[in-house]
Amino acid sequence: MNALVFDDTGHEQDEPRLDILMRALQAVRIECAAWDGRPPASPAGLLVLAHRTDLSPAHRTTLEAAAAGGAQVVLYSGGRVGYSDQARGRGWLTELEWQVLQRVVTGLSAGADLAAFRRALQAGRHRDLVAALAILCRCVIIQSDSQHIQDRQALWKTSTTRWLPILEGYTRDQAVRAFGAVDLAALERSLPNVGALVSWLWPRSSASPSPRPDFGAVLQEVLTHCAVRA
Amino acid sequence: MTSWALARARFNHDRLKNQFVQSVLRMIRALQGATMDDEFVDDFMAQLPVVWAALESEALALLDGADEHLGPAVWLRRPPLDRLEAADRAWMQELLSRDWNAHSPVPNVIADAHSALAGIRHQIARLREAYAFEAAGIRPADRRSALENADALAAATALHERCQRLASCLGRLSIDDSVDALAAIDRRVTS
Repeated sequence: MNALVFDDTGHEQDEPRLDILMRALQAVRIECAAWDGRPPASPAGLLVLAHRTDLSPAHRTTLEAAAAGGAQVVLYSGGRVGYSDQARGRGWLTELEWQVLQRVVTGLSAGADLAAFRRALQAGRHRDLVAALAILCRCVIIQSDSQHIQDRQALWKTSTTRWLPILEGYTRDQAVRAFGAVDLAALERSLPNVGALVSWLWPRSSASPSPRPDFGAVLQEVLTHCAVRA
Repeated sequence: MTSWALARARFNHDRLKNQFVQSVLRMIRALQGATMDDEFVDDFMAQLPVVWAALESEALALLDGADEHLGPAVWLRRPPLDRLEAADRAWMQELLSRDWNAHSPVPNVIADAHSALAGIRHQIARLREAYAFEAAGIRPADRRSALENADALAAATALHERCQRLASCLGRLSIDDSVDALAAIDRRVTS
């Protein structure tokens, strides 16, 4: 896999993001170069990482054409950006946050190809979701003497309205796969409390909301089944 | 892996374990008389203060940043929790930080690392005093007897042990997965 990187203005703690990406790619022996804005000669199998805010409309059109030709184009932003991942012709156009991209790129193995990159991307998204759900469950069950905090916890425990804006970009199927199951029924068999949380957040039918999960039991299941090094 | 985690891994693996500790081991072999390595020993002793000052400065910077890069503050800055409203982030961080400070092994590991650093400083001073040639300009007439100097060997051996302790502490600061960290806290709460 070869890679092109385009970033004129992005910095991370005084270091240009262009340098961070190039170094990480070179560390796993992925040939990379700064993108000059011209259409890539051979887009098939090419990884293109571009800082979204530095792109002109013409750049964007060129990169969409590269995706259609078989490239994996990643448009990243240092700010908060909704995650999207779209098949475009023979390739993909993905938009995500810099933090997500940095962890994926620095976690690649030597000689990674586009398929490995996409697997790492999905695995990273799944880990982020599992971690977020565990943290939120922990937050709503920690005992507190503060009435203000108790009121906030009650808001989170009684309704999905606080959760769903945070989890925007994730679907029920992605949540199911994040916990290693093929469908919700399988998840409910293997991790019943996690299944209850997923069903509560993304109910099968809006007409019949799922019962509220036991957040403490969810957390225990996540910690038992998903913690690897602790 | 965050930039802090990457810096920690590179420092611990590349510079501490693969370079400095290997040099200390080479020094120990020379002091034991197992090798004749005079040029290396002279260079090592001459450069030791400067080399260690740079390493110690880097280690201290990493330890100073550990809380910020390992604790709840960083968990809540990661997607998708970076979308939390400020009011929710505030109470969540307050609760998680209380948990973290009370039950996380990280503060103890950081304290152990500082203790190892102090031990390294002490053993370096002891080694330089024992070896003596740089500080006092004393160069024994018989180099081999100097290399067999028991005090220098004891100091170098203790220095190696303290370096291993520091490396072990830094290795234990590799938990940058919040689920793993929560599991460690949970086990301490329930044990």
